[in-house]
Amino acid sequence: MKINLIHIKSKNLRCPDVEINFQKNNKTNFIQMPNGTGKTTLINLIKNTLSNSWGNINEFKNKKTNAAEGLFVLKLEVDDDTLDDITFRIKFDFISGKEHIFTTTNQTSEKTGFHPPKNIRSFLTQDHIKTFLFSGDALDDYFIDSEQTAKKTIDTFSGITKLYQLTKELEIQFRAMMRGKIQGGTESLRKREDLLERREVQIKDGLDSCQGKLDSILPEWSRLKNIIDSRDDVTEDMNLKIDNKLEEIDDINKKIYANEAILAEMSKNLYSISTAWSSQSKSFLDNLAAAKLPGTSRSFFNDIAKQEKCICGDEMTKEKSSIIIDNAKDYLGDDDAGIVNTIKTTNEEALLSSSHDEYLNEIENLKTIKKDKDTLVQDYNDLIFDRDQNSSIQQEIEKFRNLNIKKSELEKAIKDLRKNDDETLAIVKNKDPINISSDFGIKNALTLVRDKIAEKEGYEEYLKKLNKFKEILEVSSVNARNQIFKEITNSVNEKISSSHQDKSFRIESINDSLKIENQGGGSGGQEVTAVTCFALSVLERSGIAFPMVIDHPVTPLQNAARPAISEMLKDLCEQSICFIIDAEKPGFVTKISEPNNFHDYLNDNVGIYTIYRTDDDVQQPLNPPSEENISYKGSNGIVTEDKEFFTNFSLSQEN
Amino acid sequence: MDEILIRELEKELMTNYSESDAKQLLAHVNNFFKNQLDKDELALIVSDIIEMERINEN
Repeated sequence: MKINLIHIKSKNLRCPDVEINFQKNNKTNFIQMPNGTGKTTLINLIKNTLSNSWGNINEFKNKKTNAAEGLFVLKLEVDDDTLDDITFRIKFDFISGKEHIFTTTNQTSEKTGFHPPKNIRSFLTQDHIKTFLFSGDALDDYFIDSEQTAKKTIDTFSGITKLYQLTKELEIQFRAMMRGKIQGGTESLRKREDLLERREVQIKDGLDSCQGKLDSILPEWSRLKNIIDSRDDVTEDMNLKIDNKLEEIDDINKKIYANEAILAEMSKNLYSISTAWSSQSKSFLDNLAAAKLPGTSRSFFNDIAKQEKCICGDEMTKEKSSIIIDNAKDYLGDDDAGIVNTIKTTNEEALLSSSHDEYLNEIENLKTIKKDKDTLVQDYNDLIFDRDQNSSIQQEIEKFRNLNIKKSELEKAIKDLRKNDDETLAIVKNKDPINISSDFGIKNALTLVRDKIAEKEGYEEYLKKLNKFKEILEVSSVNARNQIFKEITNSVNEKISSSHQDKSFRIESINDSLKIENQGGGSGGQEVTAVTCFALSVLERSGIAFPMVIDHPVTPLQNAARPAISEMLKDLCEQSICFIIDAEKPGFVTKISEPNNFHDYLNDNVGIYTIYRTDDDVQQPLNPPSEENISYKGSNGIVTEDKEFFTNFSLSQEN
Repeated sequence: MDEILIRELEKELMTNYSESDAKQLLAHVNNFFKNQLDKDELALIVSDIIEMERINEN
């Protein structure tokens, strides 16, 4: 893909008003602008437009005219199978301090905003642009390791920088997704898990111990029970009495349950339980009724207005009555009255259905039934005593009773050790393990702490996985970068060799910086050549031929070193645009021995432009171009493509 | 993205993940290069990374 800069236009800005149409067949272009003309402004306008990066736009304001608005237009031609033109128009509003950018392509009408085509969008960033738009007198950074300019450039064009950006965005996303998850170590949770596990062992030991004791008494208990169950020293009559007594106890238990159910139901109405509550509520309802409340406040006032005497005791005059009726409109609405009425009705119904006496009767009934039960139980125990006191197996019976008590105690202990209904998840959450008494509680606490550990370790496991992925990107980037360094070094050396007469001049290596072989640093000419070849190699590798825009390409170079640079640009660049001052022409554009003649290789397909200011306070050329040789004449600037004028142009103010 | 970088990335992913997972992750990276990904799309990449099992822990 090839990109050419084909048009620039500025108006009412710090640089002179200019308009240049670059010819497509002119691979090399020289723009001669005296110092102080606004060259830097023009270059920055190109740079900022291509990356759509604008800081304080006041740097572009024409301080002489203080124009409120300015305009810059830049047009590119993108040759990527099909030809596309893209125009960026920037309108500067110096009053608000804002720029407004508009984009037009040959397929779309002008749209607000920066909308370069997708195929070049990723290359239009500040980092990319500084590779093909640079200043020849400020190349030191490329040769200083600590600046890492070469590395940064390769990272930008190869996609390594973008991979780091992916890493950062994934980290941010990961943190957002893991928000609320536990971070940090699991030591304290592990400690609690350990204590809980120890407690679990204690409880299990307790269970085993109880179970062991139970198991040890069960054979004897069973044996004794069998003896008692198969005893033949009890009369039928006694057995019948005992069975009847048990039935009576069973019946009376049923009565107790029924009575308790009645009391539970009655307890729902508090007025049945307490006469104090019911009398208070009744008194409150009576007061409401006496005051005709809630009714509505409005009707209350309306009623007062109809009385012969006012509430204050005075006579109710027509005038007073009328005022009360008028003011009543501002008082209670029907909704408020509705709520109070609901409360009133509910309480009235509760009072009506309540019966404290019945409640007391049921309590008394329960007491009586329980007394009856106690009597029955006593009768039963007496019968058992009578049955057993003269029995031939009295000792066995006694032993069985003791064992049965022990068995019950052990069974209860086992039941309690297995499950304590109070030890729910919420209760054991922060409970000291030593105070948890059941296997159920310990298991709940262990579930909680293990869930937390799992959650935390899950986070750490996820983080480990993300870090591994990041490491893969890092390793791939480092390996790729080292290989690209070598390939770019070869490419740069091929370019140098094809364009430079000094065959000993080579790049030794490229890593953080460019290293010229056998030298701590190169001469000015070598540095310009090396950086230009480096930029071209990087661009070539990216598959996009951008125009090389170079400010002061040969300022630091002696005249003798300059031809190699212009020849190289002519040979290697699809399009180069060099911003020069008069003093850079000798050797670079014109022959050293014949300053009025261009190099032979620059006689064809070269764009020649001279831009100078026409403001009153600026020195003018002694021999200005004729009108027909002026390509563009703005309010404060001239653009001419006159070759002779270009060659002879010189202003004494230049330095 | 430079061809060498793609090659190295593919090699490393293939070493550390199953072939299908490596291809999936490479597709995510390519998508990131071609498009401006929103939060949901980035979340999908993160989910895939944390769900995928690495075959080479070292």
